[in-house]
Amino acid sequence: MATPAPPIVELQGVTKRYAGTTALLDAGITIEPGQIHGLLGQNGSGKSTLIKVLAGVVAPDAGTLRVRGEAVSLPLTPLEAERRGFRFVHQNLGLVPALTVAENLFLTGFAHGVVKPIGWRQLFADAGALLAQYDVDADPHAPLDRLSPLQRAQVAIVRALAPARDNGEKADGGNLLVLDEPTVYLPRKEVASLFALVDRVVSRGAGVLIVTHRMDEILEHTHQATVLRDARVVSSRATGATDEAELVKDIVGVEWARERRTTSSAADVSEVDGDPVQLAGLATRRLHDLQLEVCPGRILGLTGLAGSGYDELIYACFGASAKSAGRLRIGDTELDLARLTPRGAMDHGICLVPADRLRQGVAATMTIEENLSLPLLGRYFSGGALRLGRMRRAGDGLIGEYSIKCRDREAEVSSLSGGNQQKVVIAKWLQTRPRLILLHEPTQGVDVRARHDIWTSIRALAAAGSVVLVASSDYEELATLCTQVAIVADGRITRSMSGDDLSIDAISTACLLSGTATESEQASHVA
Amino acid sequence: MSLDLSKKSSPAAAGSTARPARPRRRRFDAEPYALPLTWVAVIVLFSVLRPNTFPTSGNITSVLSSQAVLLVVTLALVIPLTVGDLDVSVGGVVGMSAMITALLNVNHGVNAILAAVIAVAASMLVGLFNGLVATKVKVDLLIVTLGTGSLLAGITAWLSDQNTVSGLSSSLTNLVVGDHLFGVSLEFYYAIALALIMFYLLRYTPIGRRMLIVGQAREVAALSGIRVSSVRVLSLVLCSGLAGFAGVLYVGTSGGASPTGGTELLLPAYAAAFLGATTILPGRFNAIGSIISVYFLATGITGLQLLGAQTYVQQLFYGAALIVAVSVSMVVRARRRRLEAGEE
Repeated sequence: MATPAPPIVELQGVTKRYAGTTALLDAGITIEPGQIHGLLGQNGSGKSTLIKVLAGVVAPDAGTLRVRGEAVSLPLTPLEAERRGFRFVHQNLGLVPALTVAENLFLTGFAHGVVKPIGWRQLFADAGALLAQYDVDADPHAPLDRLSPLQRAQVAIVRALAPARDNGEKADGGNLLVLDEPTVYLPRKEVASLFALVDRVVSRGAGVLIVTHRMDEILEHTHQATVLRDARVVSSRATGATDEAELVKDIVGVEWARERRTTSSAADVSEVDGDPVQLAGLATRRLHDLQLEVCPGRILGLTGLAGSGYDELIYACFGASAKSAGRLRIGDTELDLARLTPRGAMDHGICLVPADRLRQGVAATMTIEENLSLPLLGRYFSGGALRLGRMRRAGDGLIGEYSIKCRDREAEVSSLSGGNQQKVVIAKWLQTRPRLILLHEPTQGVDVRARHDIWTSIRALAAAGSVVLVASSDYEELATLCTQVAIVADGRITRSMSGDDLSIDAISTACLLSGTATESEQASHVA
Repeated sequence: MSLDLSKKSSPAAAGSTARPARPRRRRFDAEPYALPLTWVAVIVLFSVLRPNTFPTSGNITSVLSSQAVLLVVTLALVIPLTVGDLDVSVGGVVGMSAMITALLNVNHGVNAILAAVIAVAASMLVGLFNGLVATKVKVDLLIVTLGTGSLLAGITAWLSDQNTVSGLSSSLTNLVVGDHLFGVSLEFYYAIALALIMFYLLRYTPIGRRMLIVGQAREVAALSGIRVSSVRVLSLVLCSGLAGFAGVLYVGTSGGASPTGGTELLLPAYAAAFLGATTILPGRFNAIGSIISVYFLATGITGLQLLGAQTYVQQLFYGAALIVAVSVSMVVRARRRRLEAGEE
């Protein structure tokens, strides 16, 4: 046998500090030819910084890189990274829905190209050949938006590996393919098909680095798994010689004991009088027949892996998502979620704080007062005119109550910091004393102080008898704010924790394990 | 069961009393007054340059009444612009409404007032059509109204067989231009009254606020329980209805309708609406600003014509005003944001 080929990528001693935080500390990764390498770690552990160093987007403070044995000086530039055959496919895929598959495959070629006629016949032929080469079943003539999520992901990968067109240089099909959570938006049963493509890529001698949160994918489809925690590499294991317990422990940093799945835990919070809010048979795009019952005074957190659909519940209960069904019982009325509108939800004392603050939360070009008074316009209208004086006083009151830092109530919301904008949204809704408060990432992009202020306001409402549902990917928030946290996987609640069981580590462990929920189904599909 | 809001007032009220009032000095902001001051300067300038023809009561009353139709069309546009929509069919609506009034009255002997009411109702149907196509079929309004505008121009020419219809009953013309109050024809007062109603609608009613938020942040509006489609349809119906009323004034002013009338109003109305949005309530399309901008533009054009300018000065003036108004409002917006953020 010949001497083993040198690793495709040998990255060592990489450190990157930003003002105040260390993103990577003496981190490294080695990817062999023909290897599928998993990169694991919680949000903020340094995964994306590591990838950005390889992409030439982030310049590390220290570190060395060897590509197929040859020393390459850091930092790379994006162009150098491309010349070295590093290819990246991001979560959102970066494809153009209205264009055909062939056009998407050679998009970058057009961008570089000089003004010369496009040989359409040749383009479609090349696209067909390229797809066939990777055994991808997609019509080069089909517009991308007709493709299934799986086909789109496959096209994105093939595009990343496509030899550059029209720029003179003959780059090989790629040394290293980096996939950033490629399976998040895929139905579970199609994950194996995507990995079949990945297998074909590595069989040509390339290496693949894949970022994912799903333990099952790591154990089943990768050869090596490197775990980052708090900017450091804590382990790099051959996946044949490890198990999910060991990996989760590396990721979370604490011992994990396999626990029995429970549906619900005993009541442990001081009960507030009133009927519980009940949700029955909730079905959305990703959720199926989900049941839920929450008593007044409780703050229920909902979380899960990206793509599990835990956030869809929030919008369905407000009548803000098109495809949802189920029944929501609040007080003595039962609402049909298929027919519920935001107006109807508000009339029944339901409010929604959406995650996308700038598009759905605040009207940025309007004043603070105009945003705050929005849900109560009908109430301020008496004697044939809006009582502007009362609206102003109420606005000032809320600005004080929620300590919104601003010039005055007439300032445009766009002039506020993110935290204060979010306080405007929170105050706008909580002033209506809702019976059911729906929150989606309520403190995303909010500074620490504002975060605590917002939590305090939410707790006060819960103590006064509201039911609160919080969909969040922020485990600290869930562990701090909620009385109970439910993990959503495979369209339903698979685990629920409260009281002493509730901690950041417990939540993140449960989330990571929720990815293995359908191991058997997965295995049968592969076989 | 509905949300009990009466209990709610207590925490807000408590908040405001618990916190000491914090009188903040607000910087004097010259921007809302820039256009009115410029207008005054322009009046003074032309009065000095043409003391015998410009500052005369004849010229003043003529300018005030001749711009009433344009003012009503501008007010009509303020509604969809506030909602964030474009309606370019208003010119066609004005022409159609004028023609319907004239034809019914002159050729079919319908009472002039009744003819005017029918014309306005027909105009509102046009707005309903625009609104339904835009919200149900989800066609961009610019395209829809571009189409209806042309359709209406065709219908107007067709109905009239391409002839000017004149000889409108004096019962209508008297109400529009025949009768005077303080030397100015009544149509001026109708336009001003409409502007005041619009001011009230946008500032003092929930529907006005809802229109504004639909225009500024459509998704926020939807998630705040506002029926966005209904608001949009309503705004287009009101817009076309007002344009129809402008058509009635148009036919009442001239005593007849031309087969191509009305379309020349579109651009001046847009120029005035955008210019009006730079004053009084800068950044917002508003009724009082519309009055000022319409008469500012008319003053400029009249003055230039008295100085000897040709009629094409109108097109130059309105075109330039539209571009300048939009550019100025962009620049001013950016500056205001910086100020508000900086003064925190």
